Amino acid sequence: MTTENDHLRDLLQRTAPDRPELEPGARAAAVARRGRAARLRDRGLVAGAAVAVLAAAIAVPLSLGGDDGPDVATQPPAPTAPRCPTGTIEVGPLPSLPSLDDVVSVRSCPAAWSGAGPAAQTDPLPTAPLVGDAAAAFAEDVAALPVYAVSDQCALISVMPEPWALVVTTSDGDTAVLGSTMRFCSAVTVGGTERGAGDVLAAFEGNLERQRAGIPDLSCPTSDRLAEGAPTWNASFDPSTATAGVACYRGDPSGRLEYAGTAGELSAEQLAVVRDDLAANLGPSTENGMCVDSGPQLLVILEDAEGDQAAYVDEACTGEFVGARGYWVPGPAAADAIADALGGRVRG
Amino acid sequence: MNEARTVTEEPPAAKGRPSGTMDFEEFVAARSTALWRSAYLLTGDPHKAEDLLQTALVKAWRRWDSITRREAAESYVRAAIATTYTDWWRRRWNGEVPTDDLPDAAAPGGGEAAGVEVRRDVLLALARLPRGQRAVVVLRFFDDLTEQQTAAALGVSIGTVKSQTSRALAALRTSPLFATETGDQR
Repeated sequence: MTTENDHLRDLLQRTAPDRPELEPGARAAAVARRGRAARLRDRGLVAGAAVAVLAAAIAVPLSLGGDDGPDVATQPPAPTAPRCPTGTIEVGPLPSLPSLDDVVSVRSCPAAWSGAGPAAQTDPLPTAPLVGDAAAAFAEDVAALPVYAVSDQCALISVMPEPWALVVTTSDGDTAVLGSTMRFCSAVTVGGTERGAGDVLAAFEGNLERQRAGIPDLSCPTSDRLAEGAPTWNASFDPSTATAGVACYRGDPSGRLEYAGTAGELSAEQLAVVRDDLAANLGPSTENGMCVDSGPQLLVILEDAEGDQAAYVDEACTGEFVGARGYWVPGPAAADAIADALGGRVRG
Repeated sequence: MNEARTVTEEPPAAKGRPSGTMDFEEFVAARSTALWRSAYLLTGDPHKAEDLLQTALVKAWRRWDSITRREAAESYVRAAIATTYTDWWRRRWNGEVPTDDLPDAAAPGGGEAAGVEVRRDVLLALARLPRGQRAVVVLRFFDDLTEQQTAAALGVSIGTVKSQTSRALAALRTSPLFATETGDQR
């Protein structure tokens, strides 16, 4: 009699192709090349002409792993997510989600609110789903967000409804809805803890973009607005694990410059200062006013040993950076470290 | 990369290995196809499987002087594949593009079409599992490792292997392929 385990074994055997495209001899040679490259890199001997020769030997097919890439071109896998339900999802009020553990897909679906007041005309959320590890990363980011607190801005302004809904699927096929009537000045409850709706949506869209395009090399953006596309949503990133960082600057539109450069890598010493300062000073906002639309911009992007990145941006405000875990006013030493990475302060 | 048909350099310390022990190329020739099949089930993609396998083999190549038996080498590479796979997403899940349907490997028709459908359905079901569960399924039911060997390969406890296996099987039962074909046989 065939047991369930035997049947699973049989299905797995039938699913795995009999053999790969690459012959074992070619694979062994490719591995030896990659091993030599890694050994050279570790010994710090990758320089000058040696780099050119090595790169010529292993360059073209390494679409996934840089120096450690495969000897064949890579193609994306194809994970899936359930389609949205027919019609719109009523989002007010929704039951709280007990947990985002074990999430395998997250998809934005059309949402509606039958409550009073007209809805705002806002850009729709992306319809592509987060799947697999990207969905798990979203869950990690939501879990790492600070507990929601109503900001002074929200107390001062009237926010129009902007209903949204994320359909979450777990590995056992169950679905649940995470949503709200508003995108900002509102909270959703996950695992008994309130998280900011805007932060949750930022984590969703940030992970979607990362799923689509991957993590870029650590460098300053070229766009006029530094915060655009910066991973300010990455709450699961622990700044104390950062192994590299960059500081980026855009001057006031009036032309006044505060720093000599617009981009610079943080040295090991500067990075250590920034790391320690973030550990000490990252927390709830101390800024009670509204940001202005123009002014100088500062951005700090940190990267850990695994290539994950998170960003902290002071976008035309008052010396207060914002990241997914909260707000950060650098102390004098960290402010100096950032200034030094940017070539120093401009006098006069 | 056709020039890569001949290995021109031995792994570190290979020249000093005692006679009777295995060469790296020998090991790759004998075992890498089976290892690649495991990597394929983990990644669901032939090219990514090659990348994963080569990454694991590079780790073995660099430590070849301390690996003396084929069994030890295979255990080492299997563990490297599993842990590299479960760690990879942090650095390399970039580029994964979700779609609603897995691509067919061939046009439907006859037995070949049925095989394609099975492959697609199994990969779809595996793709829905979290990475840890998927690794456990492949190690336990494709590589036929014991719970203890699976725990050692993944660097987790046997209890974790048991719970991951249980959750993975529960999730796989929701797939029509598994439910339909196993339903009458248990």
